[in-house]
Amino acid sequence: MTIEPLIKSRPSYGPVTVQINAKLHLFICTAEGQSALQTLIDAIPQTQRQLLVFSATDARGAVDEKGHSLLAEQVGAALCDAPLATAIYLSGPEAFMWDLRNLARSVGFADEQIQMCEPVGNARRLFCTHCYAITEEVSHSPQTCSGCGRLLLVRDHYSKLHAAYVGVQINAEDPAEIPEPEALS
Amino acid sequence: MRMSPKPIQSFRGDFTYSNSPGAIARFPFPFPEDEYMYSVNIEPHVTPGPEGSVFEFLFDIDEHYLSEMHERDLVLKENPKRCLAMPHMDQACWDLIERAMTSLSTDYPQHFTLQREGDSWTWENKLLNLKDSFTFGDSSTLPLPPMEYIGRQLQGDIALLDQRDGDLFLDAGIVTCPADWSLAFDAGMSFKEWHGPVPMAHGMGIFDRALKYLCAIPQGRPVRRLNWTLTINARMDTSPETYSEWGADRLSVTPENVADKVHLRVELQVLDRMSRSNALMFSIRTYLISLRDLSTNPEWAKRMHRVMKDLKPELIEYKGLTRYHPMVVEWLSQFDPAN
Repeated sequence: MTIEPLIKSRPSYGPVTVQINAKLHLFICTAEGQSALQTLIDAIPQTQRQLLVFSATDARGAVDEKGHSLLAEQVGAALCDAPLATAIYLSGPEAFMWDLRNLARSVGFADEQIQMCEPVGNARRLFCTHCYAITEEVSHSPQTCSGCGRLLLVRDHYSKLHAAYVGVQINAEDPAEIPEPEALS
Repeated sequence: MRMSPKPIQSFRGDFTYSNSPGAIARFPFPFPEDEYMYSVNIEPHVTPGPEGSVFEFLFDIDEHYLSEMHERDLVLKENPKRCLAMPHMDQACWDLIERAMTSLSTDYPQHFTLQREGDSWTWENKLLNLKDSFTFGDSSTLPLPPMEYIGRQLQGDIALLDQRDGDLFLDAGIVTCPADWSLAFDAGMSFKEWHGPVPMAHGMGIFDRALKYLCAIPQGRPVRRLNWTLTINARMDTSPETYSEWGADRLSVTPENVADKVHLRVELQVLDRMSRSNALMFSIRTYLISLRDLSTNPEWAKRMHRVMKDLKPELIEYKGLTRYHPMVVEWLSQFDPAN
């Protein structure tokens, strides 16, 4: 029996391919993420495609709890105008893509219509399991929680709904332990 | 022996929780063999089971009822998000209310009564001194949201799993005594996602087989399995949310106190198909017993020693036993001189 190191809830990202039967191809990305989609964009006639590109600043915390943000408004409008047979292609930081996937699902899109590229960068959104606060753009573990200040071990257990990884206090058993931060992959 | 609820004891602070001899006798000891490894250990939960046993009815009400309902109240007051139900789970919550009220009033008529006239229901819970009339299916006629209302009257945690696309999704629940998992974080996850952190079992195909089995459970044919871990002190709420409060308990175990501090924590998990929503009820009924009380049964003590001694390192780590596991083995060895 082999021991599997991977936590199975961590998303994996396969190659993104053109959905040939789609009537509209909707590409949504950050500026940094556009290159991963460019070959696909170029393969689609201009009349059948729509491209929304956001700056890294606009993409951060893309959709807040009330769904208010420039990005949510623009994407929301595009999604509502889109025909039933629309394919969505996402590229950018991981949390950005899952926020958009959740937004698309909330207006009726199915997961089969949504494809994601390999995330740009290793930054993770972190959900504190103690105070439920979100800490954005986490690159190292342990990470201090933006809500309660606890030192959190960043785990690979992932929630699509929160678009976040879970963080658990690393030194609850012995607060004297303060491990050196390590870069996340 | 049937168990009557006794006065409130605590699962925190001074930990006054205790098991009577009758409660020890009916404790669901989870090890059928001397060695423990994962298996899809699911079996039909045929009711009525043996009289007085924890398997007798769909929901087991025992001597700890008032204590557990009090503990649940404390947890929910500290953090109301320990109970949640997504909007599409409303019907499943009412399915649960129907299943719970009809079962409890049939199985424990001395404690619970239900009167139904069409959709007009009157429910009495004499243990909690509750009597409520409401319109079945209309959540606005209940004093609390339906999941919380019924969850506050049932021992153990409850999750309601929505079944769609050949998978099960954790879309509602009341989880105040979990063995280290968070409903708030795991909400909305698929079956394999919420089991993501479990080591080894994925590679063994356990979850593929279990998921197929669970999706095929028909109405009126509940199934059950036992799960286990160890808990320091008789603490019900070993959630990630409160880990900062109980994590350090693991350092408090010494050779002198190991028998009273370390508890075997057993979950009787029952899965039951809901009638209208097709959701699956997943009840996780937790039983705690100190090693000292457990050792009053020589067969259990001997087997517990063998299981602990040969436990795989990955499971010791995953179940959080690393810091005190050797002391447990050492203390139990007195009951198993041949090993």
